[in-house]
Amino acid sequence: MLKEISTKAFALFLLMLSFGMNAQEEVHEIAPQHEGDKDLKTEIKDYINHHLQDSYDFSLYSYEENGEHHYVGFPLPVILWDDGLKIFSSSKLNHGESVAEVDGNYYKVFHGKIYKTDAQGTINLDEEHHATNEKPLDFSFTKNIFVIFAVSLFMVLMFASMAKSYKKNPLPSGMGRFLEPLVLFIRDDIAIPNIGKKHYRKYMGFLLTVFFFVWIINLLGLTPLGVNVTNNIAVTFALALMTYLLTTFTANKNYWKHIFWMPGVPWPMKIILAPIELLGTFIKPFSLMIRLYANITAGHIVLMSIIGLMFIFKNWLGSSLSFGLAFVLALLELLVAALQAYIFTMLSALYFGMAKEEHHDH
Amino acid sequence: MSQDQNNKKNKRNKQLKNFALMSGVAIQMGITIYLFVILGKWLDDKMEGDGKLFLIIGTLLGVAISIFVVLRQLKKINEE
Repeated sequence: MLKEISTKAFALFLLMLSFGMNAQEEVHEIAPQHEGDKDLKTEIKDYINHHLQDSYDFSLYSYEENGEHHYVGFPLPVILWDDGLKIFSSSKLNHGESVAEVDGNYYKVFHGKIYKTDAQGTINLDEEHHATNEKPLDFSFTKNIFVIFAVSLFMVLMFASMAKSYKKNPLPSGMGRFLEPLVLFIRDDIAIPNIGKKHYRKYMGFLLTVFFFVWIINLLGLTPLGVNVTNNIAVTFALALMTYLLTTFTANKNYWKHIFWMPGVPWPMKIILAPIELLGTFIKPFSLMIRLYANITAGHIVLMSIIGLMFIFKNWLGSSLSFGLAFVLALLELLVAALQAYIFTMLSALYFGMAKEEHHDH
Repeated sequence: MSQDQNNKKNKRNKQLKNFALMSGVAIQMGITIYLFVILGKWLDDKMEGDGKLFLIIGTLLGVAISIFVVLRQLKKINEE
């Protein structure tokens, strides 16, 4: 029985992949039906672009039947501030295809953002094709936020049960057998060498959380669930901001001295170095943000494009070659998922170490 | 034996650490140069001429400083 279910689930995953590529996700216009080849290419491009964006509902895949779009998934709450709190289900927006009416106001999704419109859903465009409609303040519980909450909950449950098992028996059991080496790795190979034995304990909570959070979310991004959280620059910005704030607010006197009045260099150099060093404190978390965002986004685009190639070639040689390439790249992405989590943790630890470095003579 | 293994492990870790550090160099240099170019442009606008003197100075200064910062980082890595 269990085996049958798991086979079905696996078949469903495979189906999702193939259906996903056929999905037509145009928000405001249906692509004209000429030159089948070109259409498929634009379709794949649109699908990739759509995947890289956050969305107001959690849809696993969509397909077209009799000219209608069918979505498989569930809606999430939309929360707007527009002269008062407006909360409604994203099913009202109908994936950007219809205008949602809430308390006499009309809202429509245009290029992944909610705009205020009239009853017909008119979007006014300027010369550069940007909408000039009013945009309400958007606090929606989107797909990305849903995944972030789900992963956080999963992590709390997983690590709480793991911690509990140590109370009964000091030997790791179950999940702990797999996770204990990773936790020890972060402590012994990342935190202690970079921060030092004296101060490392304070930062362990953040380092462990950020490592497992980024890693799990990156891995989820490789499943056909359509999850993409770390290729949203706002998410990586928030993570980098935490590193920046922790570095800045736990830094000791020595750290600030090295920024504003570098010891061991002649005084004209000290004045030139001060703004550069200060700039450096912003650039460091900025490059953390860009690195994670760019790596994961690039991985998703390349992987999806190569999967899309299968449907463009449509012959046994080209399609199987691109399948093989997609397979190899997916394996590489597994490595990248872990590597990016490692680099983020590692560099955060390094910056904390700089903030806590004790005075030494040059 | 275990001492040797430990040394090897430490060396590998250091390499990974340096790799992680250096992977940000491009972004770091890019932002530094970009900011100095912006500064130069802003100064040119302030001067109300059509000269591009400050843009050129700013760009060169940006490149020089970004290289200097990277070299300092490398020196620190080599010292360790």
